[in-house]
Amino acid sequence: MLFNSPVFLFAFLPCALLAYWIAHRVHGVKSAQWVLLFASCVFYGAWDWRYLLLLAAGLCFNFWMGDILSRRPSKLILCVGVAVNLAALGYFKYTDFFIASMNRLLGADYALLHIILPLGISFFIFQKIAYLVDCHRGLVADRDPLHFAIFVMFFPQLIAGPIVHHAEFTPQLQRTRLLPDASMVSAGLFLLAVGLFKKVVIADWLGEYVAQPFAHAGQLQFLEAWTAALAYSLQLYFDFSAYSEMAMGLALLFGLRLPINFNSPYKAASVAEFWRRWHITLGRFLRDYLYIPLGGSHHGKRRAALAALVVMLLGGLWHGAGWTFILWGLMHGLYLAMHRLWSSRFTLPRPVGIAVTFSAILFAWVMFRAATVHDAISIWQAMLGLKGFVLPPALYSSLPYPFSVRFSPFINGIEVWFMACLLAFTMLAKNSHEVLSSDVPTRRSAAYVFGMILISILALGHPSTFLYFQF
Amino acid sequence: MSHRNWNLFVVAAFLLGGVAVVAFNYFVDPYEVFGHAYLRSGYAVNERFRKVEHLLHEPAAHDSFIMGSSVMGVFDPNKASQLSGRRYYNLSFLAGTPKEAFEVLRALKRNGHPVKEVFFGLDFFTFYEHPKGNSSMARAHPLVSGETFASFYLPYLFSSGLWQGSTRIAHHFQASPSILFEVDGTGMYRLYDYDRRIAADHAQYIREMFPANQWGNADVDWIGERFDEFSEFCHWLDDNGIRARFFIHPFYRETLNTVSNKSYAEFKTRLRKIRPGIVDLSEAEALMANPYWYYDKRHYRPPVADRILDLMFSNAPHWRNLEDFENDQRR
Repeated sequence: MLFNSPVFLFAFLPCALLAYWIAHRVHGVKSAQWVLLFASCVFYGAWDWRYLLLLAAGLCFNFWMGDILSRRPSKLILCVGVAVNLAALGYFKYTDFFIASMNRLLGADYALLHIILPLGISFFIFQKIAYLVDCHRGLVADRDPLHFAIFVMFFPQLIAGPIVHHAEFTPQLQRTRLLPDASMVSAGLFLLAVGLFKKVVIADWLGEYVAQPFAHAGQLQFLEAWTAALAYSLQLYFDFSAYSEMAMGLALLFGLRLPINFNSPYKAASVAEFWRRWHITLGRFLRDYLYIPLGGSHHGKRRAALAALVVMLLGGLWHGAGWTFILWGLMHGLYLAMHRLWSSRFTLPRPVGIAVTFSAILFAWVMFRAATVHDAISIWQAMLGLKGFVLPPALYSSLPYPFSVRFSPFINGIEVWFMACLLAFTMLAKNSHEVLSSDVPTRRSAAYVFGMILISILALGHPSTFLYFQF
Repeated sequence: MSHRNWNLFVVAAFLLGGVAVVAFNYFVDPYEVFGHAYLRSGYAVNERFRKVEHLLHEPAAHDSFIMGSSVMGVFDPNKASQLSGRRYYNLSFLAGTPKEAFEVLRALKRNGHPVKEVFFGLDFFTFYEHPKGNSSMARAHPLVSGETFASFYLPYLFSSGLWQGSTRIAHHFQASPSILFEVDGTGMYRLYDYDRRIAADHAQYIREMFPANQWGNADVDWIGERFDEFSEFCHWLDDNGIRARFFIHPFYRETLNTVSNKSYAEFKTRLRKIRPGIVDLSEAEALMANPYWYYDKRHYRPPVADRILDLMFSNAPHWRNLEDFENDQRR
């Protein structure tokens, strides 16, 4: 079930909210929590009920391990718990990649297993690992199994984050009143409406300029390659921003707060700042559970650079089982390592820093999206003019040498200017959270939200999956 | 404004907006998939659904099909039936491709519908453009796509049909129609508004519809998959003993001039390699240079279509027959 589907918005969500509200009013907090858990099971089970069993098994195992670790912290038990979780992730996500790589390396022909990846597994496995570590560190006080089940299964964050810490989520479930107040509902509705608009109107439009060009990477010419790269950078931005805001908004409607996961990352003036703004909770997880244990925070610059490289390499692998993801992670690792080594020697003026950072990230996104490393290199070549400076004829037929014109099967050449406007918007405009913190409800904001809702509903005909669902 | 009022307003907007959109899309039926006939047919008919639906309701009425893109919409199936002795229906679609034609015919045949002959006009646009996204106007019939009727209809309740629906309402209240898709008759398009403007002042019409090109002579990267799909279509037709007549459209000269001669020659060579018998009518220079024969830069008028039918159903069709026709008309 997708947040941007009519079934979710007009059937599942109203029913879940109504049942939650009635249960809370009539039977109290505990009943409302059971309703929330049941709704989350329906949400996940609608995709494939068999994986609901897998999720439940993981839930029981981790609760049991957490219980042991809370009572008697032990590195061995923690390692066993983490290893079991990673083994599950490894089996579902990396088995075929491993077999394919071995086949290529050894010239063997072992059959691929074609294992279906359970939706959101990368997110809920990381969340459970964080939980076990927190139990080991004595940070988990709430031992209520229902609270733990909601912490893992809460449907707004189950599929694509944010990756929440037990200690920042479950205290909210201990309140005597869970129902949101009017200001929380306003914030929730606002985020839901803005997120929906970003997804169905902007991100899905941009997607039309991504799929075909990336599927024909070898044919792309100069402007086509730049348009495809820019379109994907913006599609991923708006798609993930939309998901994060909808998740936060939905949680607020149930009276629960999720941490901000996305904070205008293209405003970043360095790659380090980018990772403090993009997928914030993943960055936090990698920092707390990998970067710091690897000595990144207090063993000198070289160690920090090396730790950043390793962390981002694993971060790339977390996103997907493929060499393109690994190389993307490596690129970001190198960017971060360079930043660590150079940041004390010189600083760029902020606008230059933003431009340089975005360019570096844009090039890395090409690797992230391409089907193969060869495709990514081919697109980079076209972007750098190594295949000439060929443009579609509509706007550019009068440009002098070295530019030449050729019909494009992918673009008419005007789209790139719309995308440039969107990019400027992402870099210059206030984001939803800034708007939310500064604006009190007004008729004008209600009219804007009304407009966005209406336009979004008109675009619900063909709901498409959020990009981060595949990770 | 208090939070409470703001919330009530937004929730009401959400619910009423949802209800309004669904009600509008269902009752106005912008894409005409729900079968409501109380409004005059508009501009956004989903022919891919409606025409197949029509054929399924009258399985014995037609056994042969005029197919291709919108250019084929002016070809009269009754004339084709007279010339061939078959029962033709105009099964062309806006921006229709050989692949779509193949998929529709295969689905019809699988469903037990007779398919004897195909008359197909080829244009170069469909061989260099990649389709973008899902258009509500162009969704295939469930029989063709294999999806369920529920999953076909549900998106139409939330489709962005506001503009299309509004134009349908406006079209309904016009004294006379501008356009008509004869889905439940011949399958042709009738471009009444263009015909009225031509009848009123043809010279003025030409001045308005045929401005000079801003650019031209561009090379084209033809899409290999389109040729593969065409090849697959031809093989399927041959394997099933279906007689097919293919021709390349005589496009208005300025439209052809947007493409370089080298690229256009490559296009024709690649088509001929797949189907040597394709009749190339884009050599009919005199006709193609005269806007009199065209509705716009991409579409010719019914007299040209009638003439093409005559010559394509003759024993040795050739573009020179079109030139003779042009000369006759001038005399």
